[in-house]
Amino acid sequence: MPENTQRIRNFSIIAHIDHGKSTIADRLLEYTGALSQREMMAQVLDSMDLERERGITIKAHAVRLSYKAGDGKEYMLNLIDTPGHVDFSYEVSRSLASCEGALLVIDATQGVEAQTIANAYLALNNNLEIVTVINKIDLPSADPEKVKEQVAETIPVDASDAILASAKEGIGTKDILEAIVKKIPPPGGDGDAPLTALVFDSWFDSYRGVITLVRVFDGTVRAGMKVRLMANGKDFLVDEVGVFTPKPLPVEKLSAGDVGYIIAGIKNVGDTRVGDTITGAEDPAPKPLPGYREARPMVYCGLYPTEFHQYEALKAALEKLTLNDAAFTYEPETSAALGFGFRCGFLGLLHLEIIRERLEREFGLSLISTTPTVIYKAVEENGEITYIDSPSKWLPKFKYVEEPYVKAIIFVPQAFLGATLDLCQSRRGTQKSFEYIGKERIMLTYEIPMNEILWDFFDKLKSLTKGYASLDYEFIGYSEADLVRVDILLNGEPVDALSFIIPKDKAYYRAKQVVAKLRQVIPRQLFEVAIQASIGSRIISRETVKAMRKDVLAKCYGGDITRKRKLLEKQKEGKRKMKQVGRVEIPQEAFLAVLQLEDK
Amino acid sequence: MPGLYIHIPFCLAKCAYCDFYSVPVEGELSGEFIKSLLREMELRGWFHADTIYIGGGTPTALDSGSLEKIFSGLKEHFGFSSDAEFTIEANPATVDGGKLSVLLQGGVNRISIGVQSFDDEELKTLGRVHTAADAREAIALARRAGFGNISLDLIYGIPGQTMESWMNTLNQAISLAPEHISAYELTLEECTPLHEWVKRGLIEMPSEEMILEMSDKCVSVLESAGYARYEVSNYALPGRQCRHNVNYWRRGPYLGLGPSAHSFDGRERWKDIEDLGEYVKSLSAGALPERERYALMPGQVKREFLFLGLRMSEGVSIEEARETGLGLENASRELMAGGFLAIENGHLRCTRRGFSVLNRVLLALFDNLGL
Repeated sequence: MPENTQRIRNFSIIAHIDHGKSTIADRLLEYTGALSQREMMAQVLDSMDLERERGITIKAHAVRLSYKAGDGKEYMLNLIDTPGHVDFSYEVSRSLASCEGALLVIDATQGVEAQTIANAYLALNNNLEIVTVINKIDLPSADPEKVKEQVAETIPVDASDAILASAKEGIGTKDILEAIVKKIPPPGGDGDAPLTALVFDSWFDSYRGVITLVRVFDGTVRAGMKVRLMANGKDFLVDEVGVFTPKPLPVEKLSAGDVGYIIAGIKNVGDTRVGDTITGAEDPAPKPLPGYREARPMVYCGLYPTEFHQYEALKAALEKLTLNDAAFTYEPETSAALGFGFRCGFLGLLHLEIIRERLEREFGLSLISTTPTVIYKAVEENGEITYIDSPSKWLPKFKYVEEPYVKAIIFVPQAFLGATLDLCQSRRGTQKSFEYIGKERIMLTYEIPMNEILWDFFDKLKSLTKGYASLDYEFIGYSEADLVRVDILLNGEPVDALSFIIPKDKAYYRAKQVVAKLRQVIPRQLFEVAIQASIGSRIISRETVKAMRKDVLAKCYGGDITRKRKLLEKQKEGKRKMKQVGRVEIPQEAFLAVLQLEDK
Repeated sequence: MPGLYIHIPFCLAKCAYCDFYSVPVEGELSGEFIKSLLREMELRGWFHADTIYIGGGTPTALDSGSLEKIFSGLKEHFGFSSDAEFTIEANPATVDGGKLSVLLQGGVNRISIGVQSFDDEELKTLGRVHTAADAREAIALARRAGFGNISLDLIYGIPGQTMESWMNTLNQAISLAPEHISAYELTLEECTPLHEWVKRGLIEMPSEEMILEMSDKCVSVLESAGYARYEVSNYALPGRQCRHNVNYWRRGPYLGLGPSAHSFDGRERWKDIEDLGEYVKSLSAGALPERERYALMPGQVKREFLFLGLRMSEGVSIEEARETGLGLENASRELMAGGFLAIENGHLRCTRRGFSVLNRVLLALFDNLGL
């Protein structure tokens, strides 16, 4: 293994979703012999089942590849994989900070998209050398020249020498590897200086404890050394350092320029936050590497067990999940309608869905989730600030309230411009820029309340533009808003889990929609059910579910009591799956239905 | 007061709505069945019955000789109270003067005639093998032969049935002055031709609104003619309730003989093998054809007590419920306020409104009682 950092290259692959990032990674692994073709499950870097199903990379990983270049020398290439979803953009930025270069993969048929630009800028901000790869050139509609023009117009990157590749066909793999060696600079750093290693990923392994992925900038780390996590000052003794090939391979040490893992008896991923710096406890660095910030949840929702006796099981499952996911938070919460549950915080809606699915799939839990909400900032008369992560914490006495905003970049073909502008308008967006990219496409920049973009904005955008639009967004800050809380009442009883916070001028329409939807999903019962929406004590909408009039077994003789009893028990089982609020039974889908409403 | 039930698994033809077990009647097969049935009587030993009910299938599909064998088997292996109620079900197409006197000779004193409707179109839809005229004829024959206790089965909610035709059926039934009338809402059972036709959209079931109105009219018309509703679907002149069925709803013990017949000894329930061939095979090997025997759990006992008892207009005894640990007054407060239940003479009973949503009333009650 080469000692000299001159023969190390640290790089990431960045791309818009579906442009072929993972297949390119597969080809590189295959070509360098890191894995034989037989060993290649499709896209080995995406190791979690869920990731494979959703076709996105959620956890970053790092793989060391050995490559004998055209110059006859053996190089060590560290491929640092990055998550592909905007929920995880901070993780992406830390992965990029661990590299000197990035492959910017662009689909030859789709061209530059919103995430292409967002990711390219993230890479440029980290001073990375960018190698442009135009993928899928085997497709009939591929137009690499047009893609090059688009790059020239949108990103300060020279794409004239872009590599033409088809990961599917294995075209261009060697060119990519040569470009990595020739264009991406070797890492700098001093192996004898005090240790600074950037944490860019960590996860919990039930046998080894927390496994932390790092990029060493200065100094050296080896087994037996005492290290310190600079964010919280905790010290740990290193058991093992190693690299992934992609199988884990223990090594003697990791030095300046290296990428690898550290195992140090850490029990909680909360101790090794992404972005933190690991240094030596004996000879600590004077200051941590720049850019650390704690991942903060952006979206909250309540998670409740369908059956109250699963509360403890849910609690245990949440504890277990936080071992592996420091960005996810939870605390106990009680709902009058749903009983005991947890208020959970997530990086975004995708993160929420992943966690929810894991809870249901891996832990066999049946859950009800309440309407997700962003965090509102309420300022009281005395200037005190309260962060509101749940409609139940809403009080009318605030002086004013602010809501979080995002900056959204949208790429859209001209043909769909009108529909896109209307959508942004209806979501309370403010246009910040409007730029032609080539003749047919437009890059729009908007500032939009996060609340408006979180739920179904992307789905809407996709359907309005027949799938051609692309989107990227980032949180930019808070801004004052005129908001109200709408409560939903069943037979006069408020159902706290159905309350939502909404701009005042949208409240009536949305309340009407919610109430109408509930009328559809709440089945008829013995008693009439009045569904109402209110703001404070003012009722703004009402519907009625008429009482059930007929449900009886006409015949019950011939002595077959068993079968009749079973019919009744089946009905009882169905009833048990509903949530009882007062004397009204609410099916679980009611809580979801409220989320899936159409816009006007 | 133990009941004895005998299931005759033969029919002339299968009705479109029926999911009871039956096969086409055929000489050799019915001979084997009678042999096995007699063997089962023998194996079940001596037993004193207060009520006997021969149902099916179509018991009267059997020829007189077969019926006589069953009657003598009954006399040989069971004892009867002097005032025992002895019912047989009859299809109008299968009775004649001769067969009726065989029944009377055999001790049958109550006949339940499957009229279903007095409209020939509706009878066709149901797949019945007889006409309205056949039914009138059969009732007259039974009366003439000397049956003093006649019950008619009627069905409402038949595809194509109108309010007018239902009223006509009810009025014709009343004019024939039977002692007892059963009026069932047509239930779509899975795996029946009718279910299939409806599923494929070939015919349409009447609206819920219409069925509710039919049910409502049925209660009023029959009650004003002197037939008191004593169960969800059963009406009788004073003293003419079907004691055999009342025994089911009061959770009395009963023994069932014949394929798919159910039994209950007060503690355990079981059924006989459903398939006729298997039934015959088991008995010719000298083994009781018993299946699915299970003892009731305490919760099941309580639920049965309620869901059977509340089918009766009289309802369930609050005192008796209290003895088993059920506090009915508290548990039914809300349902009484809603007009679904009422307390009368120490009994909790369904109101007319409660009857039409009985399943829901029961579920709510189970909930309140923690059952």
